[in-house]
Amino acid sequence: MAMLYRMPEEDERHVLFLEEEAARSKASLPLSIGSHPSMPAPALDYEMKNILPELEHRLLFAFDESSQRVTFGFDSQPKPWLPARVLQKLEKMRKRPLERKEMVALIEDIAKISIDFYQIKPGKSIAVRFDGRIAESADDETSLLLKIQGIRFDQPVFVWQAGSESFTGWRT
Amino acid sequence: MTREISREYRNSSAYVRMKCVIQNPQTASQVPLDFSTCRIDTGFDGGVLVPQWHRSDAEVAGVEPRITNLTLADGSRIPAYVCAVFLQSVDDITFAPPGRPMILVMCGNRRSPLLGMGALKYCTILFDGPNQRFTIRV
Repeated sequence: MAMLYRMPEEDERHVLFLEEEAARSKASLPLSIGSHPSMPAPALDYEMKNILPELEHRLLFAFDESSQRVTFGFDSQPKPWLPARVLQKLEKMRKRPLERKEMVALIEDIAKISIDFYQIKPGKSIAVRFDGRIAESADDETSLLLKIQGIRFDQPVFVWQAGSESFTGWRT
Repeated sequence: MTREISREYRNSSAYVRMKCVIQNPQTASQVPLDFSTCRIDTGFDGGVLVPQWHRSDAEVAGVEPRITNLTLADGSRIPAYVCAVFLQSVDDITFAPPGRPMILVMCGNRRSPLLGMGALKYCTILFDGPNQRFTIRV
């Protein structure tokens, strides 16, 4: 369907003024907009009115519309940085079981890094994945174990109590 | 209603019979554990310490024991597996289902399980040293 364009009244007056001005003067030089004090400023470009809503929509590209959250380019939540010696131990653990001392040290190292990174309050019980992320947390050990009982995580997890040397045992 | 039992020491230690159950809340499957000679250890802050081979019992219920560090009496630390269990009875004293939650520690191969403070917090215990008897009250 063809659409007829109707020029706004102000624009129409502007065109008429230009035509009269051109007829009066012998010179055929075009006048620049606003050069004559009696020349009215043109109305807002009618095309812009149609383009602006589209532009506004395009400017919202930073919003993830499904979750209504701003995304900063991360595919997942940031996780603690693990030092090379811990990564080496994790790689070693994939090939063969670690010795007791190595395992104890590895758990302690990851727990410490994770607690520092997430700023966990002392006394909180947490379930930590071996990449340093926290899978679950609770106020005490029993509540934590009940929370994660029967849940299969995508990675093995260990349990820890923030601010303590171990999770349980003959603690002083 | 207060329930009370009184027993004599054996080899200068307090032993009780204890029943608990490993329960999987996701599937409602459960595996009961019955220990006839459980030594009371007030220095141990976990619920009950059993040999490591009980890991298979937890796996039967679909519960994956989680690894952690356990402090030994000498201060050293070793890796151990833990999961949650429900304490159902201590000798003749039974608790209302599903029981009282506590930590089950699976470590080493010591035959006699230990009953720690995590389980004893539900009872009042009186150790009568001169008469070599102990009393548990709930």
